[in-house]
Amino acid sequence: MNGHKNWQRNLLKSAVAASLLCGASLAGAATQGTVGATSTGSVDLEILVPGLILVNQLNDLTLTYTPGSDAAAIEGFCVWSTPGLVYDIAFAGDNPNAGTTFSAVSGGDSVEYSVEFDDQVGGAGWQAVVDGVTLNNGGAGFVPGTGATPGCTTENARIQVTALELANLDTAPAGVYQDTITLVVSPF
Amino acid sequence: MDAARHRATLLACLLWLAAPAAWAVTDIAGLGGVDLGTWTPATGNASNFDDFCVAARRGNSQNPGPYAVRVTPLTGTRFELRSVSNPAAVIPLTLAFQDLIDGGQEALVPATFTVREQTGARTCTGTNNARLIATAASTDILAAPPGEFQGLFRLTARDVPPANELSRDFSIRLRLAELIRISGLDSIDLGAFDGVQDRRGVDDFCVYSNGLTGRYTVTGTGQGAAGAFRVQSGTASLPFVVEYDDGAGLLPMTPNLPLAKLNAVSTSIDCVGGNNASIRVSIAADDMQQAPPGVYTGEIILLVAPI
Repeated sequence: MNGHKNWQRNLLKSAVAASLLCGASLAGAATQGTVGATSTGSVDLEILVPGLILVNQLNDLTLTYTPGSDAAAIEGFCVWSTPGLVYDIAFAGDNPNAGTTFSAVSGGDSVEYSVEFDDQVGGAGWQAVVDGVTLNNGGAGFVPGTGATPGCTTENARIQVTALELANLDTAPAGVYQDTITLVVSPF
Repeated sequence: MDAARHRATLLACLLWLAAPAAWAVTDIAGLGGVDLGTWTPATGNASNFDDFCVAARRGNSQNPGPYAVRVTPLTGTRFELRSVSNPAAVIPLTLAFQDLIDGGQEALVPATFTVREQTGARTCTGTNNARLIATAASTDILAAPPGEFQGLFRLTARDVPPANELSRDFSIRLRLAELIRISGLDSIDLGAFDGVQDRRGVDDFCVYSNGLTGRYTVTGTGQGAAGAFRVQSGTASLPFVVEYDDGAGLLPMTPNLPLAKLNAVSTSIDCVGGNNASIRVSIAADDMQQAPPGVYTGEIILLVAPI
């Protein structure tokens, strides 16, 4: 359900989570056979299959600042679920930040960056991400991939990270600035 | 002349009083035996009767007199039916005698005369005055192997007080078909899919058969198309696998295809000593991962038949 996107360190984490439905007791009851030339009985079965969702194929992003331009990168990943679900998604940075932006830190210094999310399958287009705020595509939810095996064979979502040069990178002391973004996807 | 006639009458009376009393059972007619028929579970206890006539004379008069009866097994010492093809197999029997004149009934003890004084007929000319009732308990029948069962007996009637005896032999028969029953079945709750592991559930149950070999076939049918093993939630469905174990290990079942098994019990209709069969149901994680969320339900119908 959640994933982390690190700047500079290669980490790939994924997990499967269940959106549990309310449990139900067996509606039917087994029946017993009677004595005779043949005999017939029956057994009732029941299983709860919850809605399942998975985010994976996450790779770390590395941005390189070249004076004269902003630093930006795009990374594709996959959101998979059992059939019939849409999802919402939330992004949370590890570092304290001001307002709606994210922060990458290097020792006591920091630079700000913005995040955008694009649900490629659903065609919602790039949507601005606010740290800690859940996106749900205006209430419609985003469309995950489905298929035989959890995990996607093709990426179906992406994020774009942008660190502006002006009054940000151009004023930051030299160094390696890092942050971790945790992605949380949930059936919606 | 009158005096002479009186003397002759008196003499005749004295001669009659001096003669030994000739109490006698003079006839046993119409005793044809008891057919308990072909037993089915709906029958319950198997019971039937045979009406017949016992003529018993009171002394030298032509008036009917009391009598007692006794039934003696011609084989063994107990009231029981014995399998014609397998003499070691027996079905215990209870016998009773009913006096059809006064309605009195008495349980019979092997080789022992009844205590009641039964009402004899003057002659056996078409009206029966006695009834022999044979009963076999359903529990005893269920514990017996299928086949033809028969018992041979001798009924003896003796006047009261005892003077002479008269006997007739008769038989009691019962036919028992091959029977089977599946019971002790419970529903299987497979719980909730955790997203990773296959789900499995087991149910133990009982297969009873009165066959000597215990061999039977079991056929499983699901609720999917053509009896496929599938659980369903709305329009969505999932396949599942059924495996059957009669104590010799799990074997996969194919819908609608009989599977030959060996281990049906033959002495208890509900496996008092413990269940002797089980099924295991499995649903693959791969299938559940592709299924829309929901509560999936289904049914397995198990048909057992003797071989």
